[in-house]
Amino acid sequence: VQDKIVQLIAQVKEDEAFAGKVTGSSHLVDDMGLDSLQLINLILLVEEAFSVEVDFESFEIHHLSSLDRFTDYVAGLPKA
Amino acid sequence: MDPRAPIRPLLTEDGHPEGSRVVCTDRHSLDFNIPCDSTSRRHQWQIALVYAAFIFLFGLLSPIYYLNRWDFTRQKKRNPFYTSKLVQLLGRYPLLYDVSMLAQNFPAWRRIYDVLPEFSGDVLQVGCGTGLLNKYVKHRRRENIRFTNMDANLNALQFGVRLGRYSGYVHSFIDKRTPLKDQSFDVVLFARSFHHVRNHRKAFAECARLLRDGGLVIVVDPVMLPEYGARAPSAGYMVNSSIDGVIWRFTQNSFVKHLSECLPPTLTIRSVNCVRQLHVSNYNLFVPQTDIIAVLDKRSQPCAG
Repeated sequence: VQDKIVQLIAQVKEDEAFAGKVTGSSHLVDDMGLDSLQLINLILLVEEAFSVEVDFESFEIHHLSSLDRFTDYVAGLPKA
Repeated sequence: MDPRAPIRPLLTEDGHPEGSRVVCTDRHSLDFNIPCDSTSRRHQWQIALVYAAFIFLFGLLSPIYYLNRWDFTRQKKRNPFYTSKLVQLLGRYPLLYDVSMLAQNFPAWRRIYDVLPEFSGDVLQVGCGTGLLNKYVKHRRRENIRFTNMDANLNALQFGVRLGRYSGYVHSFIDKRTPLKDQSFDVVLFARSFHHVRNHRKAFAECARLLRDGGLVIVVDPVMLPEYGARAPSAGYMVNSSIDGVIWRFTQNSFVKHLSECLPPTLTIRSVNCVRQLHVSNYNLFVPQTDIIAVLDKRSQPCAG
């Protein structure tokens, strides 16, 4: 799951060499530099790739505090 | 009118995805039923009037706008997808939404749907809201249209029924499987609601299921003008807006590209028109817009190639 998420982040950031620059503890905003526009588009890609649905209302910022946390969050989402 | 009748094209424009026909009027001058002549003094005065109305309304409402924006910015630190207080209020109180439409559509309240191509038969209206289009259609005595009204906002639907704009509704999302039967509509219509639909690929798949063979999908939606869109990404993208929630934004070209990428094999683009109606939403000073009108055909068999 995490490898696919990194691929999707690389796609959003339009940076093919992105995979080598992140670790499981990298913060999606502070370290990876995703802005709000990129975050929304990442969520759309994640929904499409994993057939899940993210509830925008209940989403919390701590899901973005590291790649590992975000991966756990995505893995725990119910299938749409 | 037969929904399969050809849609009258305006002017052609090159450089769009193969298989789509993109037709555009003068992006900067066409308005509601006024001859397309951007140099006419009368037209210039009308544009000036709309800009003045925008400045007046913005001045009047700016304390609400900035208070909402301040809270929105603060809350987004906790949840980047936070729905602003203003958007929550508009969702909870449909009367407030209708009043906000009066401001946004000034001075074209009654003509905001004039850009729609003619359609008839069994029509699924996606994102019917409080029934402003139903009111428009009743006013024009178009009796050959049988609407099924669908929206995700139950408050708006109940309000529409209370006002007698429609009598029944479907509370559902078009990008999820709806409770409606296969092939039960001649037209699926998105009248200024398309930018609110999260997953267009799933939405079009559902449209293809619901449409009879030869049926149409009609999408009328605001898109950014090229000079503003030039600073935006080349593809359509989603933003969290403090006054409209999480929405899609497109330019004319990225809209067509996005459609082409989202369509199932049984839906094809017949035409895309752009008409810039003269109202406050289009002539605002932040994100100037125009209306795009796309018509898609449903075929029983996927197109070859």
